Amino acid sequence: MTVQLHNVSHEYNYGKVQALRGINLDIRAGQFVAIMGASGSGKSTLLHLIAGLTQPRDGDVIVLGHHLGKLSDNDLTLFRRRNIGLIFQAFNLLPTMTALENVMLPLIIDGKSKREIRARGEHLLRLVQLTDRMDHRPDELSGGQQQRVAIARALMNEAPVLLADEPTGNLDSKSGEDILYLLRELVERENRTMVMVTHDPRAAAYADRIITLSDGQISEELGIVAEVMVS
Amino acid sequence: MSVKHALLGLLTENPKHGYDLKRDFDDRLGDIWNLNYGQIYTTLERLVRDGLVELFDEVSQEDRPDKKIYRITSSGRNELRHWLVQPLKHEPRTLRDELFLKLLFIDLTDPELILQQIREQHSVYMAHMMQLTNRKYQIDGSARRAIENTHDDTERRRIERNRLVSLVVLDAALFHAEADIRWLKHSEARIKELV
Ligand SMILES: Nc1ncnc2c1ncn2[C@@H]1O[C@H](COP(=O)(O)OP(=O)(O)OP(=O)(O)O)[C@@H](O)[C@H]1O
Ligand SMILES: [Mg+2]
Repeated sequence: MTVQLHNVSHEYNYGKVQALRGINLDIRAGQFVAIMGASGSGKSTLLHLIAGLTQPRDGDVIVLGHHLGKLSDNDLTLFRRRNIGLIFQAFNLLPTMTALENVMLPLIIDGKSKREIRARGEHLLRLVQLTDRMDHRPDELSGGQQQRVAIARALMNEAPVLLADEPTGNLDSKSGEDILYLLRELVERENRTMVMVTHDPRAAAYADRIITLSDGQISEELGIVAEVMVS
Repeated sequence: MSVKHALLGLLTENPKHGYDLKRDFDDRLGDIWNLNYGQIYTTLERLVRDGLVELFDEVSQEDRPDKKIYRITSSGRNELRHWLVQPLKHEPRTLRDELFLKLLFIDLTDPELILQQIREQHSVYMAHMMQLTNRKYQIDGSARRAIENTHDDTERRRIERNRLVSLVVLDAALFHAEADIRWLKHSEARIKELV
């Protein structure tokens, strides 16, 4: 199992907001899982827990065999850098760097050959169809272009686990589809695991599992074999 | 919709019998349009009667009636060309859903039961979208690979065209399912407001 959540609950503001309640979830390697649900239902919180950016108030999060709650902050950072590709709802690009530098950043910190890193960064920017925008800074890019830079950056470390929060939210439907095709192909070809939060039914349909959250709980799960499970 | 023109179009490729027509139709539109043999044969009879198609050959088969092979006539080709450039009907599709009727009588039952049906319907559509998308992904992938491995331009164009037709058809089914899904979600919220 690549991702396991055992009885995970999370709250904010000292218990005033129950963001997640008793979540149990197993995700196998090579699965593409979509998380749907109304605004405020806990989707981003769930993603942050899997990324180890937040520790749950209750329950265990186990990713690639690591008990995230038991890792030191240092180990957690290292774990994330090696194993997790993150595409946030806000793209978190560094404003003073070009698109290419932003994409290269995750590996530069690691101190690898700059020439190789650059080649890989350029390759990824071509994949997301930004060949002619590599030297632009974020404020010189459209919203959808910034989103694609963030996607390329998330693919940079070849992480086995990809976590994406609305990765196609700012894209028109054809560009969004190209990205989803690319992501699904990556998942299938390289047996990676992908968890994607989305409001868009057409994006969610690219997944082989769709999990719906309501008020911090899993209210429904759909699988590609079209069996319908309504709780 | 025009089964007549679909058959005329398929017959422009080469003479075919009913089975060929069914197979070629299913290859391209089978995902969204279930055409049965009965419709094919009655339409063929009408096309022959109107002189748009003619009997081309008959192949005898053991224990079975002869296999009739049809071909398009020149007036059939004219009819097809005429239809292709005809403007589409300028009117929206009619919308009819059983849910409208149920809402009319919602006071007769617990509204929660109607909401439950809406949620189930929503799941059915969502699962349907997953299947359609999966088909689309498979078709797109095998077309991309076939194009990469082909050096013959005509063949490449044929693959491109078939890919385009399949994807456009599946997109239509997907966008309609999506519209239904959004409408169901919206209606669910409306009904909740009411109760
Ligand atoms: N840092 C925080 N402090 C306090 N409450 C928070 C915090 N982050 C999220 N929440 C609350 O937790 C709940 C779940 O939030 P979350 O961001 O997971 O929702 P979401 O499903 O991602 O919504 P959206 O679709 O709008 O992005 C919400 O009610 C939100 O207000
Ligand atoms: Mg969110």
